[in-house]
Amino acid sequence: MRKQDVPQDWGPEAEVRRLMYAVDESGRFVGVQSVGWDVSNTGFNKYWEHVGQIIAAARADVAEGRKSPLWYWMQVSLLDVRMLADYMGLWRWRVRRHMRPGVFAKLKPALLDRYAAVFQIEPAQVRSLPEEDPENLPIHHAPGQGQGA
Amino acid sequence: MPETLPSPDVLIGYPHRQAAHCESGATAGLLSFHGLEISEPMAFGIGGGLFFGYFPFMRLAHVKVTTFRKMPGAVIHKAFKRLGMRYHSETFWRKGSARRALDEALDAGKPVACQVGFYWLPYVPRAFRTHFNAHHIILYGRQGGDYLVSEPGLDHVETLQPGALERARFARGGMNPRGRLYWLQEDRSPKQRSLAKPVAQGIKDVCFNMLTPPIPLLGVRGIRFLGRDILKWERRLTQAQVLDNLNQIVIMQEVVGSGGAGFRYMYAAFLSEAAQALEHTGLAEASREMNAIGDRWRAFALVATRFVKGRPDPGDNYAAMAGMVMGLADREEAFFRKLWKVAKAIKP
Repeated sequence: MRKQDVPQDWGPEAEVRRLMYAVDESGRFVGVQSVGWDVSNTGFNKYWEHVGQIIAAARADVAEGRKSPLWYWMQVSLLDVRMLADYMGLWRWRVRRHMRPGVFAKLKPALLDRYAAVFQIEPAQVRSLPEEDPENLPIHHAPGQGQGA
Repeated sequence: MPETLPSPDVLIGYPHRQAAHCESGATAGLLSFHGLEISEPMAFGIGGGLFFGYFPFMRLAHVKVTTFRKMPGAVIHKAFKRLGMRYHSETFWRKGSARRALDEALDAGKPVACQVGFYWLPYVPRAFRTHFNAHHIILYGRQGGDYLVSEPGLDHVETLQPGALERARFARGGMNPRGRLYWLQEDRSPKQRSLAKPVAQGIKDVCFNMLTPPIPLLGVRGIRFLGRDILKWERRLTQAQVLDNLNQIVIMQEVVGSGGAGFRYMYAAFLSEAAQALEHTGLAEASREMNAIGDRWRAFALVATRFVKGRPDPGDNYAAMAGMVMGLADREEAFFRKLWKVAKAIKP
């Protein structure tokens, strides 16, 4: 890639001005900062759209009583059962079991506190579904909009 | 546990440089600090960082794993080793001892490379948040209880609170850092090393890995595997699934900090620098070819993105895209065969 061909399409990468390697006029490689490329911008948008759908589906599952609120908190923390079990120091089948509303209702407060610590939320929050999705994720849909998706 | 006393401030004169990739950036930063002035592409090439691997059955943050680089941690170890630098690498079971070891190294005036979970770094922009546990940062001091961080991906320095750092150092869920630290046990005197041997070792390592993979998902065979898979997707998957798959390859190639075209441009930069340092025309030629291969990978990403956006050009179809990938496999195979011969002929 030549230096003048380094794409500068404004996108999420503008926040970090990522470094690219390109050839300058004398044929040497130099580092060039870029604010994004249409391809990677689309990649970001599509990825977060995908994650947003997963979170919306999780919200619907919890609201309709198919899963416990842990399922929602796991998805907004971008975790999966394997990783969550590793953070909790539990076996995966136990974490999977805790995703069932009936089992979840009987969990001891100490265990719920540990879950809350992994999700970085207040212990009381982990028991229920929040009104709005956390703001630290760039998911595009408004909460509630993707219900049933 | 007794409350630890507030730690005194330490400031090490570590010059921050932005890098395209965290691990090679950290490697080059530490080497330069300890008297071996070296660029990021050079560290990447000597560490033998280039690779290809396609793991459709593995997912990282909902994304199927396609990798363009070697296992995290390989570059840092191999670059230090091949350059003959004495280094220390350590993991920890206890958070207390992990913090003590870090503080002791900083007190001794050594900048420390630290493997961390990317998700837990508070300065990461929200669009980048992901549970990637093999990110590398450099810690170069303490100020008012916070740690001073040279983040290779950014063009400025950052600070981290001890709690956040501890969470990042003990991230869990695959490729766990376990508080891993690296530092060089060298003084800061300027060092002259002949680059011929390490460069040849690094190149031969990459050629070996690309051309003689033990399973068909790796190296040039992996690229062909991907090409064949793209043809199958059209028949077997729904439109939405195909687009997700394509997008995931593009993400791994272009978004995950690589300096563009899945590390191919950085490798071309390495070959160009090596050609200059060793005054070798064969390497200069290889650099131009690698650059062209990088352009081709980006052309593939561009076509894939047109599909993802739902606006393919008239000539775009899956067979053509698969053909591009197959062509890349052939081209990389020929390239690495030639490069291997060139590297074998380099006299140390």
